[in-house]
Amino acid sequence: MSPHSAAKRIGIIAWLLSTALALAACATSAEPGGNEITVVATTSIMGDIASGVMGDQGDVEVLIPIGVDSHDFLPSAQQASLIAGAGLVVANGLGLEQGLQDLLEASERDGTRIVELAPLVDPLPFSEHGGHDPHFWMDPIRVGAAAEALAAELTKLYPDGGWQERAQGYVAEMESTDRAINDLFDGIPNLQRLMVTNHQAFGYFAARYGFEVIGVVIPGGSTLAEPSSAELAALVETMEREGARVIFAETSQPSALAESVAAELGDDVRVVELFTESLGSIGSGAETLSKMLYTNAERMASALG
Amino acid sequence: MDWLIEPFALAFQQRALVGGALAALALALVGTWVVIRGMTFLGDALVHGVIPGIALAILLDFNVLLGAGLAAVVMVAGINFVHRQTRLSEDTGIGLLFVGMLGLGVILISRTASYTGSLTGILFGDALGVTAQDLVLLAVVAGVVLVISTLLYRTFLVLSFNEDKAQLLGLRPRVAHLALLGLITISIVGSFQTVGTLLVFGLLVGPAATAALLVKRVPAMMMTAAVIGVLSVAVGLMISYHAGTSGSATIAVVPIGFFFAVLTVRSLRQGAPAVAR
Repeated sequence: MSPHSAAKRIGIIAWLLSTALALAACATSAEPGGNEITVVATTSIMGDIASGVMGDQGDVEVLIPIGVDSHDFLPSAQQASLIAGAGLVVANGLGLEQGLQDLLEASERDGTRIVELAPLVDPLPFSEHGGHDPHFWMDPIRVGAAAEALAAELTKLYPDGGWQERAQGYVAEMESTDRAINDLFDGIPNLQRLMVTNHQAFGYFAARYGFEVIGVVIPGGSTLAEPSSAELAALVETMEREGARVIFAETSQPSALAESVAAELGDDVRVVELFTESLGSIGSGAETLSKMLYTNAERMASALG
Repeated sequence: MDWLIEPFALAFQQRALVGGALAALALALVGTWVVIRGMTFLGDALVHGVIPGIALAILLDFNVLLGAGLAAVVMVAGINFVHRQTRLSEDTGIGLLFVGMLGLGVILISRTASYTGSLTGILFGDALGVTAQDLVLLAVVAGVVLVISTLLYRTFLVLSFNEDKAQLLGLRPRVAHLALLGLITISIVGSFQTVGTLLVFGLLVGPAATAALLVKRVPAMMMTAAVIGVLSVAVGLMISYHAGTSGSATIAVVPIGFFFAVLTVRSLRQGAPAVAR
């Protein structure tokens, strides 16, 4: 091509590149903070706890959208810059946010304050495979303890926020949810308190309310594993033996495998959806954590009662 | 004999077997042409290129086959465009569209808050979650592929060995090429729910490549590929049951392992590799 058009092409490319860079810069530049404290929460559940403790003393941003599984969520560059600009990052920990792990570690090395709530509330071990169970939010009492721990952390960073008071209000709310759930399960005898769930998310719930999880569709503590044919067959056998008639699936995961197992056992076995990894959208009955736990208990009580 | 029957005692395991076998059948028939015509890279690209179409279809709630078909059309058009407008080889065009479409698919999936059919599900399939309805779809797909392969057999044959002659004989090579691409797309889309898009490729190429080592004539190749494909599904499910491994990954690896086993035996016997043509 002629020197003129070559120069023209190079010019156009240079212009495009610089525009792209400028746009990228605009998109990622953090807003100069006012007196507002920005807290970034990893899951919507962490967001609920953070909002409970923060009240209107600042902003809570949630990374993982409603309905998305926390085990396999991967962050965007935009969210990375959000974390970098946060006053405090509230994470669950104990391996829940597998996709966020690297980003969180890197941010901490760069000076971002991160608090992980799960290790602070007397976590339970995972029965078969070592490590601890991260799903502590299914136990309202532990949620209250987490709120208090968060308030303590915030007091270290921002001493005049009144965090502890607000946390006590949140704890009271959780205690009342706990009593309400116990009432729901009053009519269910111990022998019938059996659960078959999609993945190992109910350890804390089972411990608090006297349930036993007799089988899971997806082995391991995360949703990223794939059950083998033998494992599903063993689950079918267990359910037949124990007379289990419900499989509790979850809103953040497709339920094809649970449906397969239920179909295997016959017409009277149902798949009931519960909220586990995330709050629900408006109108779902799980817009806040206390509502979510209560709605789950309602569905369980009606399925098992 | 228990270890043969045990993996297939339950209904969902039987559906996985039947579904996988139907998928393997369609893919073997189409795969034979892919291997003969050296279209493997294009086949791989299509396998991944349909992902944004599938993702969009699930997002906007329309037929998945339609979505995949649209994506395939975009892909083929794009490859053609690059090939015609530049001096770059078709390879490069395929590579570009491959990455572009796959990346677009991942972006589409990651942007949705409420999409519960995760990327993992599309890539790796859900052999154990196959329903009776899925089986009907798979049977239809296998049937369509069988019928069209039979009807266009002559055309594909001449096309594979001498494109000019095909033109002379009035066999419309461009149309036939598009028909083959259509068949590949249909069989990929029909099968991805069972073994996932990543591993569909294993069933597309593996059995056909092994068949090419064993027989010379195309009809025999297609039948051999079909048999190997179906057996791979059965063996894969059996191994997956007893060893506790991922169903679709095991199904994909069996035909590849078989290919190399056959190749090794042949090389040891003959000392010179030769592909049946």
